[in-house]
Amino acid sequence: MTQKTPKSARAFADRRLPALLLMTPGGILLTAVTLVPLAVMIWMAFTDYNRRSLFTGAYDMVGFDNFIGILTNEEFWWSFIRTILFTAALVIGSLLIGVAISHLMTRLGSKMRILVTIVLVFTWAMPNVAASLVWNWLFQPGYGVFNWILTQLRVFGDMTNTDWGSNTGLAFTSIWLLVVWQAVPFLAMTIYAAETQVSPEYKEAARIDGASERRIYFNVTLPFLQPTILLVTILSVIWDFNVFNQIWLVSHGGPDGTTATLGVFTYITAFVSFDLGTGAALALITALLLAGLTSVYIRHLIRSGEDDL
Amino acid sequence: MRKIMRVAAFATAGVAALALAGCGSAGTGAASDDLPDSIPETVDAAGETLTVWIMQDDYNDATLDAMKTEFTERTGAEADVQIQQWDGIGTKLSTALGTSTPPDIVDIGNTQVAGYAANGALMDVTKYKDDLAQGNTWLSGLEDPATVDGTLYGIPGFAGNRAVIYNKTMWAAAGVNAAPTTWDELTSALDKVKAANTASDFSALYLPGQHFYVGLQFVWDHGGEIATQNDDGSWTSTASDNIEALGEWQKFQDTYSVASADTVFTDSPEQEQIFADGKAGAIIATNGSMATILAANPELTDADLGSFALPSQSGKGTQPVMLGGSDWGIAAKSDNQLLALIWAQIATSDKIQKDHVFGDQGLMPNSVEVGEQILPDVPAVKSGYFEAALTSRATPASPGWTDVESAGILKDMFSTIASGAATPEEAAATYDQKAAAYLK
Repeated sequence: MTQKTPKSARAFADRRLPALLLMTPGGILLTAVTLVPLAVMIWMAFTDYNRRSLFTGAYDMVGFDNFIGILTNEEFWWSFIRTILFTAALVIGSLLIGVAISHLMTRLGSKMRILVTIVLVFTWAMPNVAASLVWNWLFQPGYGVFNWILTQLRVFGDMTNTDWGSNTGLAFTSIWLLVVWQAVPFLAMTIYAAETQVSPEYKEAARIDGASERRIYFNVTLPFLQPTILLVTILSVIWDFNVFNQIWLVSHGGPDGTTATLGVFTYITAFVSFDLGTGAALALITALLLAGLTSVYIRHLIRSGEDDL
Repeated sequence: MRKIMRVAAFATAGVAALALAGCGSAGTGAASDDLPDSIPETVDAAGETLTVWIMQDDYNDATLDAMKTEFTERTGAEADVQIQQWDGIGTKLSTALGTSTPPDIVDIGNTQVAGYAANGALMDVTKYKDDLAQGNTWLSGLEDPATVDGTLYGIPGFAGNRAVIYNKTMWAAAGVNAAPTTWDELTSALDKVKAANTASDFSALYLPGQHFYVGLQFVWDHGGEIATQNDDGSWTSTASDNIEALGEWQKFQDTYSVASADTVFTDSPEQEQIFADGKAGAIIATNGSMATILAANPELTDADLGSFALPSQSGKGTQPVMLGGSDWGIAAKSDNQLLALIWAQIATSDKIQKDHVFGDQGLMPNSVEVGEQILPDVPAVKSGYFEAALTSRATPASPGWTDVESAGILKDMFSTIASGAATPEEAAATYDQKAAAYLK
């Protein structure tokens, strides 16, 4: 299909104008809700806007001072390392469990598979704020059901009074469980969709050649799943890097800021201490990092579109 | 292709211009130049609405209804009262007061009002002070945090403090028939209650590890301060000078409270509920909590409850209590400042203070004169509170104290000591280092 470049105003009105007009409402919304706040944030990162500025409107431009302050702040680097390690733990965890569940679903009878699908969808659909609050009740010291179950297992001793939110390792464990629990359904269903597309002929051929089921999975199925797994991994990295609600609601970034990933650290700087200039600078740094990650994803998407997979 | 680019460019520019124009109004504040010099008796403001923010559990429905009725009589306007939660209130209040449509008058805790006053969030009400005081002398613990360099930014609402609420029936069953008046009597009474109730989730005195109001009492009882002001006006955080007091706090909390209380605050789980369920022989709470307990367990009555001030560990008198309470602050950017002044005048009037703040809710009135007038009417069950209030202290009057409380570092210090996650020395050192950044 060739598209002629419109050579007259009339041709333009016929061909391109409708498209532009249709895009305008979305364009205005996008600009107002995304681009304008982004511009304000970039501007604010170069000022010393704080609580007093909120009320009186007075502020100063400070150039790169905020950025230098952040990059020389030990807390920032700890938060950064924490974010990377925690994101890695989340992605690896959800990926392994997601792939396992997807393979499980290929072996189930149709009724069980429908049941598992429903359970997965409900888990994924539950709003993560509600899930965090329920999680807090489950893990509450003294009254939490989860503590009670662990005590009954008699493996860890008496866990009834453990406060998961006040110990860094336990807090991260609890948050990891929460995030992975809600992330697995999406991964499982996406990979399952890909796994059902693996042509059974290859598997048959391998079986005839005497390969065990394990060899078949690792040498036949997984290579087919590789593009899908790569895709969901990149998405997971971006989403898990941005996890905020679960961390804030379970541990408030504590104890003593030791579970504060970059998002939580930025929120505390900007909206609890009201050092908005520094908070905006932090947000800018995080946004640039994520833009880098997203560009990897988009390049992969474009390339896979061209490759006729 | 080029035409498209051109058109797209124009479209984007147009939209951007519109959007930027829309957000250009930074808000220069209300027209405060046309306010009268004194608060009028009535105004005609029919059809207008005053937005009032109240902190949860500060004023009950009866008190608020009385205030609303009188307000509508005097002005013809309606009052839209909105109740706010304590969690995250620092953030919420700062952002709300910074907009061009803030809540007109807010009820702020007296430990937090200094921060807002110093940062220009609240209206200067110095010239209305006589009209608002209505002949009374305000309690200094409420007025001082609201005054910056001699300028008044807040109006005292009421005062409150904390005392021990104990289950008289349970204590009598354990062999304790009189409220303790010395520290030794207290520990022996608690030991008896502990021996008589051996369930693993029972606390003789349920004390959450984050309950910093009580923790501060121990610091003051040992003659120390949590922060001191230097000669040049700056503040130094001095938690590390109070290791002995912190150690005593840890011992007390550990001995009489269950382990699950070590790292929580008073609201999750609610300590009044734990008391009402019979899982605690005593709690340390404000006197408003008595009504909460009775509501949570209808089988308990006034006869089952009693109160006493926490005795001093020095052997004489009671521990200094933190004078809590709240002030009214009028938003500097509000459009209804005159109506807000009238509301504040009503809320601090003798009638509301005597009949509702004290009469209905049992809180302490905001002035010395009214406090003396109601003294004979204090019911026996609440006598502990008024006795405790005779020795009261306030949190540091530094504007940075608001941030210290919002950041929760004081709660962290006391809870890490209570749970044993850090020694008093380590926890105090961590706290001092963080508080220094806020207190400056």
